[in-house]
This record gives sequence, C-alpha cells and structure tokens, in this order.
Amino acid sequence: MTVKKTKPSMINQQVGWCGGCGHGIIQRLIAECCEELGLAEKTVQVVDIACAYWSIDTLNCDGIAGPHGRCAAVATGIKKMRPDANVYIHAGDGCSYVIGLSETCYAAQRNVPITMIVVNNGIFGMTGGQMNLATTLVGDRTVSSKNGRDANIAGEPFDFLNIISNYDIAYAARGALYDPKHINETKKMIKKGFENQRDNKGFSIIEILSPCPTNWKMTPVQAMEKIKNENEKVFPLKGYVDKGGEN
Amino acid sequence: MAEKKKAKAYADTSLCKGCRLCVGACPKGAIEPLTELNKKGYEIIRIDEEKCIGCGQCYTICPDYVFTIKETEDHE
Amino acid sequence: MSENFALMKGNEAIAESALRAGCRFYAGYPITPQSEILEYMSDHMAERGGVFIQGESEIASISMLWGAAACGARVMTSSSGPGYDLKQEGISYLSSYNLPAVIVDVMRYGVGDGEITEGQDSYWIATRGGGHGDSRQIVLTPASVQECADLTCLAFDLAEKYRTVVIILSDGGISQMIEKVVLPEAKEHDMNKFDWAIKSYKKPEEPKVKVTNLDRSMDYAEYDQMMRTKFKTMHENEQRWEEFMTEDAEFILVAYGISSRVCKSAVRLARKERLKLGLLRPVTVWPFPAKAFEKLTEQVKGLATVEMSLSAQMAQDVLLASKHRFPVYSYLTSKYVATPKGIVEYCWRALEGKEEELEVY
Repeated sequence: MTVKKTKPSMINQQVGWCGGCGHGIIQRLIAECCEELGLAEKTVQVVDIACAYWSIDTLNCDGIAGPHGRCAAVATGIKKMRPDANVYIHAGDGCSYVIGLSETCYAAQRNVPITMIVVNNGIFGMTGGQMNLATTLVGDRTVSSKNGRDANIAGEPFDFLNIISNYDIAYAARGALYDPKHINETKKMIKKGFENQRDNKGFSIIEILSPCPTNWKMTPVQAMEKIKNENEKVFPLKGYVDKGGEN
Repeated sequence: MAEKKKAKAYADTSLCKGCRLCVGACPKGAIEPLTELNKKGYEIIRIDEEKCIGCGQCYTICPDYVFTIKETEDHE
Repeated sequence: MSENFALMKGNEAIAESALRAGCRFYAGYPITPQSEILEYMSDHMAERGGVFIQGESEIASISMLWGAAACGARVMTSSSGPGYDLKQEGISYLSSYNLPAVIVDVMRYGVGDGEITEGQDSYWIATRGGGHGDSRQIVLTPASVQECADLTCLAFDLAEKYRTVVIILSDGGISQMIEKVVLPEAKEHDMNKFDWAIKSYKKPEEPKVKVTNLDRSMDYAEYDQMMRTKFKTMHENEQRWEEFMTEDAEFILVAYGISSRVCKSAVRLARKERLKLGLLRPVTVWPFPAKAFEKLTEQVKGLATVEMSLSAQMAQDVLLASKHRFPVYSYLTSKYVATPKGIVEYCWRALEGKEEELEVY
C-alpha cells in the first residue's frame, strides 16, 4: 500500500485546538507547503500569544512566540539576522490587525521577505470571545457586544488587505476553509507566500477566513456556512497583490 | 488479469474531535457520524469502505489529521 | 596618539562602543535626549555588516530585538522617558527567556512627558525588574563619557555571561557632554555559538529551540529556582562602585550619573569648610553595591543621596543596603543639576538636625 496523503511529518503531535477550529487545517497547509518546497529544515515559525500559540510545540522547527501583536516585528528581527531561514508568521486577526496593526503595516512597508499568515475568525478567541474591532461583523454577538456589534459605537470592520495593497509588497491574498475546493486554493496562496520568500521577492500576507465554533456558539458545520454566507461578503476571497512573477 | 489501483481513506479516530466537517465534505456520503465516543470523549465517525473512492476530501478538510489516504492494488 | 582616542558625546560613545563590542542589530525610535544613539547607528552599523532599523515605535523596536536576540546576535535598543515605558513588555519577555540584550535608558526628568533635559526619572523602573516585575536586570550607571564607552562594552559581556538584559542607565547630562575617551578594541561576536539560539538550518532530528514567554524546558519550581539563583549570583558577583574620600568621612553622599559628578566638587568644597564629606558612587544600581555600605563604620554620622527626581528613589535602596545603621537623608534637586554649594549646605543642615530623615512611602 502506498500512502497518498497523510499528516505531514513536520507535525509531531496533535494540537489541542477546539474541534472544527480552522487553525488545524491552516497548520497542516503550512507544513505541507514547507515540505513540498523543501523548506522544512530552514523553517522558523513565529506565533502570537493567542490561539496560534499552540502551534509552537507541534511543528518540528525552531520557533518563537509573541509578544501579543508584535509578530511582524519579531519576524523582522529574525529574518534580518537569519536571512537564509524560511520565516513565517502564524497569527490571529486580533494580533495582526488590532494591537499589532502598526507592526504588520511596517513589515509590509519595509517589504521584509517573510510569509505572514493571518487567521481571520472575526473574534478574539483565546481570551473568551470578545469583539474584534477589525473583523467582527456588524450585528455579530460576542461577549463584549452582547446585543450585536453596533457600528455607531464600535465602528465597522475593515478589509485590511485593501490597506496593505498600498505598500510595495510581493503578495496579498485572502482564502477560506469552508470546503476542500477553497482549502486547496488557500494552500496555493500559502505556497506562493513561501515561494516568494524563497526567491527573496518581498513581503507576502495570506489572510484566511476561519471558523471559531466555540466563540461563535455554533457547530463547526454551521460556522463554515456563516463564513460562506456572511463573512465572505465583507472579506472577499481574491488576490490583492501579486508581484511575485509567474506561478 | 487487469490491475487497478484503488485508493481508500483510513481513519485514526483517536484523533477525532467530532467536528463533523468531513461528513459534508465527502462527495460519496461515505462518512457516517456516530454517537460512539473515543477516549477523549468526542463522537467519532466511520468510513463506509464500499462507498469510499479515496478522493482525499476528508483529509483536506480535517483539522486533526484523522485521515490517511492509501492506495492499494486491486486484482480483478 | 592611540587610534582609539576620540572626543565625543556620551551618546556617541555608547553607540561606538556597542559596535566595537560586536553589536550587529539595533532598532530604535527617536526621543530626546538619546536620538544621537539612533543616528550614530544609522550612520555606522551598515559598515560593520550589521542591521539598523528605525522602528515605527519603541514597542516595535524592542519586539524586533526579541527576535534578533533569539538568534544569538548582540543586540541593543535605546530610549528615554515615555519611550522607555514602552520598552517594558520587551524587557519582561527578554528576561523570561533569559536572552542577552542591552537596553539604554537616557533618563530625563519628571513623570509623564516631563522635561527632555537632564534628570534621573527612572531609577525605580530600571531597578525593579522592568515590565510587570518579578525579575532582575543588571543596571549600569555611567558618570562620564569614558564610562559610557567602558560600561557599554561590559554590558554586552555581562548580558552574555548571565543571559540577562543589561540596562545602561545614562541621563541627559552624561549623554550630551563631550569629553575625551579611549574607545575599546573592536571584537567580533559569533552568533552561532549558542545552543539556545534560533538557527537558519536544522536537520529534522536535531533538537529544536522554542523561544517563548516562559522557558518551558523545565517545570515552574525548577524555573523559579533557576531565576532566583541567577539573581543571587549576579548580586554576589557584579556589584560595582567608586569610593571618593570615604575613608575618613563623617558624612557620605551617595549619588550616580550626573549628580555624582557635582558631588565630587561638593566633597572638595566641604573639606575646605572642615566638613569631612565623602562620596560613594554606585556604578551598578542593580545589584546595588551593598558591600560598600558594609565597610562603613560608626564614624559616619549620616548618608545623603543626591537625586534629580521628585521622589527619593535610590535613597530607599541606601536605607536597605546600610541596614538602617545610619540616618539617611535625601537631597532632591528636581530638574536642576545640583550645585556643590547647595549640597554642602544641605549636609551641614542635616548634621545640625535641621533636615528630616528619609521617609519611605
């Protein structure tokens, strides 16, 4: 019997993410891409202090965590001192678009050739489900917007990839995970991000719409439906910047 | 004698967290949600081998690497 | 004339000495009165083959330091006043994982934005663990441009020896004065020599490094004990101070940095007035030079700190180090550098019982 598909060997144990959490799929895609591109031995992971943190113990590579929101700056420091390493960020939307908005923008502004993967699950997951200023949809109930997000009080969510497209970067794209077809497209985006780094083309950011069944208070299947029917309308799935050259 | 390669999905249900994403992802409806629990207390699934065509969609959507797709030679 | 001889500002001496000590990563943000360190690095880091980044903020800068330090490089950042406040999270993270790093705080005066000139605003925050506390960092206090150079070089060595953050606590006076200095010999640093550092390439079977906000290679009890042992060792071995005319002194000033320079003049002035004044000048304020106080005898009638702050910050450490054996006074000069006359008059008044002893609150 030949094994056609199995857990990448770069992943050395299961992570304790909630059942149906998108982080598990994302971590697998990252590991698959690193292995397929022959970058596993050069990979350095940068995770934030949030749900992505749990990835640090389960990938067979050097890793560093946090501080919360500062991943883009930490990754910049590492890439500058270890330019041959394949440095990627696995961080949430709170880390990258709220507390760490400045750091994310400046890693792009400096066009540091790292691969930044941002998990957009429309909420602050690790801390118990508070509203995310950048990505919670208007009307969504969270523990800090119990009657639904009110745009008059908290403003509207925003499409960060529109902002980042103004910088001279290599790649920006958004994918989703709600069915295998979209997962495969997202994987292509992640792979592009790693190829750009390998070829020193500049900063790549891949945002992935991901479910948080626990804090959305739905089943994983319902959460995927919500992304397809609601979140995708606010955060379109498409490429924003692709200066990396041929696919 | 013709040789045909057949791929099938195999599940390590000890890793399953009962999210049920695989059930809807399977194009052949080959994955059945069960009420049986694994050691961690999650409701697991079962693959109907007859229906399974080894397409790997379950592997793609599973966040917990439950599925392995293996190819076997089938002698007719 | 030695090729290492130069005439430079305190800030420049810190930057040049860092480069000679093998510092190859600097990230910082402009704030007065330390911006020359950033500017010097922007000018000279590249020619040494290192990386200079003007960070978008002090937090971003020290976060970059967290990454670069984790790679085993010699790294430095600098700030002042409210900018130093923004370094605290990074200091806590660096301390938690025992990463060597040098942080320069060029002190100003006052709470909040305060004044942008000389001052000694941040003694407490520098010596009380930084961040949300519960740790110790070595804190060096230069009082001349020569010490700016020497102590910066020492800072990198101590940081590596103990895997600790070392803070260079300069001030707006020392940073801006121009004096002659003999710079240290340049040396190279090998960032690949540490097994705790992130590398560019590792085979699958090689052990991996996971740098997090808490070293999880051991359990809490073991980690806590390891940290305490480290602090105790640093405290035992790294106290540094200068004694100026203390052997026969009947009253001793305790001061560091810009204030200590004036104290030397005050000592000389006092002796002309037949007051046997002496100066104990801490060169490390953590570990505080408790050993210097153990040597003092009953001939000493009192101790007085001279600080450019609104609170008696170092005075509390003097009380602890001297174990309440002597009356302790605190001469606070606010945002003004003390004058020798003012110091001597204060000492006379203290000896005459006309000044209140230090109140701790």
